[in-house]
Amino acid sequence: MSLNTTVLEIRQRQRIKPTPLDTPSAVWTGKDHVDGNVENTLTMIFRTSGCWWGRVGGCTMCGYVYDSAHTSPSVDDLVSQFQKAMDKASRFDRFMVKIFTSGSFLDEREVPEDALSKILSLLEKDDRIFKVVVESRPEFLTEASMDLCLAHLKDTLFEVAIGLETSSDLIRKHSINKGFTFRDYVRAAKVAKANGVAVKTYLMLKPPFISEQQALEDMVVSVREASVYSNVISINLCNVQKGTFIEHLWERGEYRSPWLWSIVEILKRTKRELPNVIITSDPVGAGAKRGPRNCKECSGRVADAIRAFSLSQDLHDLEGLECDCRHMWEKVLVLDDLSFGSPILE
Amino acid sequence: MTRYFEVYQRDGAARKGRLLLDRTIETPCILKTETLKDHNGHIMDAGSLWEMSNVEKAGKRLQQLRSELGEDRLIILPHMCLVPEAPDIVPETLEMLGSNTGAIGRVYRKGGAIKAADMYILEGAGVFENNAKALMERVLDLKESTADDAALYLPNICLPENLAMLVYMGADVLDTTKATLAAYKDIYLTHAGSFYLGSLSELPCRCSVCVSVTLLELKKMDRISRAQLLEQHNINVMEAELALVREKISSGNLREYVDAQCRIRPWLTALLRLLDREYLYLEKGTPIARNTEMLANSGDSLTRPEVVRFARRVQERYIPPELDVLLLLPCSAKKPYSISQSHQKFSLALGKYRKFVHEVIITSPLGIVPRELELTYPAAHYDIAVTGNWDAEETKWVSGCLEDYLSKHKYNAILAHVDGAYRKICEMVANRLGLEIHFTSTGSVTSYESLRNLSKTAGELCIGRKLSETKRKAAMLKAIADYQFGKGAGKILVPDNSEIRGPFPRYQAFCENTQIVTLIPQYGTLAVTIEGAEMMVSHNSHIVRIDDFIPKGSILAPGVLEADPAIRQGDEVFVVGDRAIGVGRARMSGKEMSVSTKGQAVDLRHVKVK
Repeated sequence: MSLNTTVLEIRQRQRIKPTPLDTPSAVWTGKDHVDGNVENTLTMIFRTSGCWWGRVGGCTMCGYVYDSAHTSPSVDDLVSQFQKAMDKASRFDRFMVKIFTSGSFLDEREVPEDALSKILSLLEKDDRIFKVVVESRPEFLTEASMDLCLAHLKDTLFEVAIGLETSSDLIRKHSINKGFTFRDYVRAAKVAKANGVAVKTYLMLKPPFISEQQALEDMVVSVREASVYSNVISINLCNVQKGTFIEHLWERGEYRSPWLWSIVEILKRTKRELPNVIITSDPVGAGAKRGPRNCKECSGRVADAIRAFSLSQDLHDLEGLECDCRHMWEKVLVLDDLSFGSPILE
Repeated sequence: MTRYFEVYQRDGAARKGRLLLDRTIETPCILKTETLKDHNGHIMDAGSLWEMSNVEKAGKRLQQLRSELGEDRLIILPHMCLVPEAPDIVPETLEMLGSNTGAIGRVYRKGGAIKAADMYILEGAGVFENNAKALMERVLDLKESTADDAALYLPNICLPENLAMLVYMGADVLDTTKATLAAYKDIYLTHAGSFYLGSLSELPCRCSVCVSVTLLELKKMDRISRAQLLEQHNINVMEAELALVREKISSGNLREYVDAQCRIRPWLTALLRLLDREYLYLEKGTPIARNTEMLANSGDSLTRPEVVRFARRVQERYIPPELDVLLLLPCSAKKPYSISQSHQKFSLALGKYRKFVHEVIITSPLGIVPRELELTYPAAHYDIAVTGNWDAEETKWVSGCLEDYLSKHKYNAILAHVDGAYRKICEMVANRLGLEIHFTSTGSVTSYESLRNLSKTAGELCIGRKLSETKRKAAMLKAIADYQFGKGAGKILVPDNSEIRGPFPRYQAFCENTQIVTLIPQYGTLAVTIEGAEMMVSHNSHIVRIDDFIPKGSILAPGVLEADPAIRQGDEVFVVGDRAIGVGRARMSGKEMSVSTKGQAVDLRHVKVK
């Protein structure tokens, strides 16, 4: 059985609750490091028909597919979702908008051209918004889709985020089941660049099967290789989402999310090597049993330092983080590499 | 197929062996896990495809390592470890990677390609701590799919508490991963379980670490120094347990040790029971006889392979002598039964009627022991915890054995000189089969009254066929021959005109003044002469076929063309080649002889050139 079939079988056992089509899946505000400054951001997750790749199998760690709608929202529904999301930013006078679906904003099947045009033109009209970031799989990053977006976004900065996850084709294929190659990513990033569109790259620390040390080294290499095409890199820390293959493994003691010490190490090493690249990480679920974590004592503190660094890009924020569990993590780096298919769960 | 691993002693699935690398490593052994990355180590991991990212690189890495390390250091081939629940996505090209020369280890994945190796590593073994069934299934699957003479490495699972069981299940190589991680969590390991250091009031160990430091000092130390000391203690405990287990394999009583040790954790007890259900897996490595005691200390002794094998062989191979009266007797603490005080009294009470009766002894855990087999392992070797109360499982097992016997073999009269639980069993079986049993005991079986009653009842019932003293001795040798070599062997080795010489129990059977067999009292088995071996060739059992050479002393496994898979370690075997015939004792099972490329197969006693 292939990895995709395994993922698909787990997907098909999940039940998706009917949800209102005119309300976004999630909206929140926060702060991000944007082009040298700390800025307010509004993040909106559109409820669309869902990621096409997730529907035919999809990625081993992704539970976002269950945020999709049971039936395709209409153009009006999507615009309504946008307007509801915008309400959350009413107190901001300057902010950036980050748009996600549970798949690709640039996939016409998820967001029809009319909806895309309408939403982008509304964004362009709003003077408070200085930058828009949308996420998409690389196959939808084409000359045509760039033309369409740029036709609306004239005075607003535009950035496309791609979930590359890793620069290793082996890991992306056999551990993540992502369904595209590094070459596909490079092509997409070049199209964006040629159109003057910035590229943000999402990476994934510690997908299944690979050891803590392998995961760490993979991120260091991936940041280096992605930085050629993208000067903003955000490293996601793999967590255990409901209805995923990873959850299936985790329930059986066959997966552990990464240590926070690992991302601290990655940030230090990559930032030192590439000081001009923006390297961030949002430690979602830090300290939880399904999330990235150190020991109970230091997880919160270390996660805060990671968030601080992500905003400041200042390595001083990662200094002086000490805890007894660091010794354990150092041992895990060595031993998890030699456990031959049974991850060290501590 | 291996040049780098040799098994020289077995006990069930457990074994003692040697990894023949630049340094000889005695197995079972515990690897310090970190040393697998050490270029000066004896066993080295070539690494993972996850980090090397393509098979070509992995191949180059392997080549480079081999030229650096030489042939006599074991290289774990580049792997792409998944977890047990993952679908099989390992590229075939990776599985094709090999090393034409030199010692190699392979990660074994269920359902994956099977290629030769000196050592197999069970992928994801550590996931199955606490999951007896899954672990056993994976280990048995690996063992069935790979050669007997390869070492088995179970990574990331060993603790002092489970080490004995893992070795009993067949592990040759274990590691220190769990012991190290425990130390970094302030966990103090013992063979009787683990303790949080904070909860201890003293250090329950006298290893070098524990005598060098007090608990208080340990608790006050900084974390890293404490972790290092705890790690050393945890490994010390594991090493001590390992040494003990190796001794237990040598002395042939690992089962007794595991039977006790497994009570530490329910999953280990479950594992013992599940393994017993895999009778053939354990039995094929269990020597046919031992000269040590077999202790039946727990209810789980009823299912141990020695007990089940004895009962099965009695059921399948035993033919009673031609007599019309059966006497059922209780077992005795002293073995063999016939030298016990109680059995001496029974014999005296029977007097001249003894010739007419066939005696069968009822016992737990063996079920029933026909008098002819009372010397045969483990009948003369077991000891059991006696309380006088039989539990339901014991009663069910023993009555089942008796019922099987009585439904197969018919007598004109059945006497039972038994009391207590033995009597209940006899009554149960008599009821079930509609048989009449004459009970002769009136209270205690050795009371004057009971013995008189036995004598009187025997006098009334003992008519019909009887057995002379010589025939009785011959019947014993015949029964042992059938037990040992299968039905029909007794008739061949102890034909009707045999003469039996020697005092009990050192019987020897002669045929026309030529010695054929000798009874070995400490095992209760037969040793066969070369003439006996020649007679046995036609029986086609326990035959080891060799090429056209004249063997001397011992036969090594590579010299064996084919061997009867029924052969067990310690069995008497008949060596047959174009130029010679011989007889000796098996040092490994028949299947191992056929497939192994290393190790002593047969200790020869006699050879005759054709």
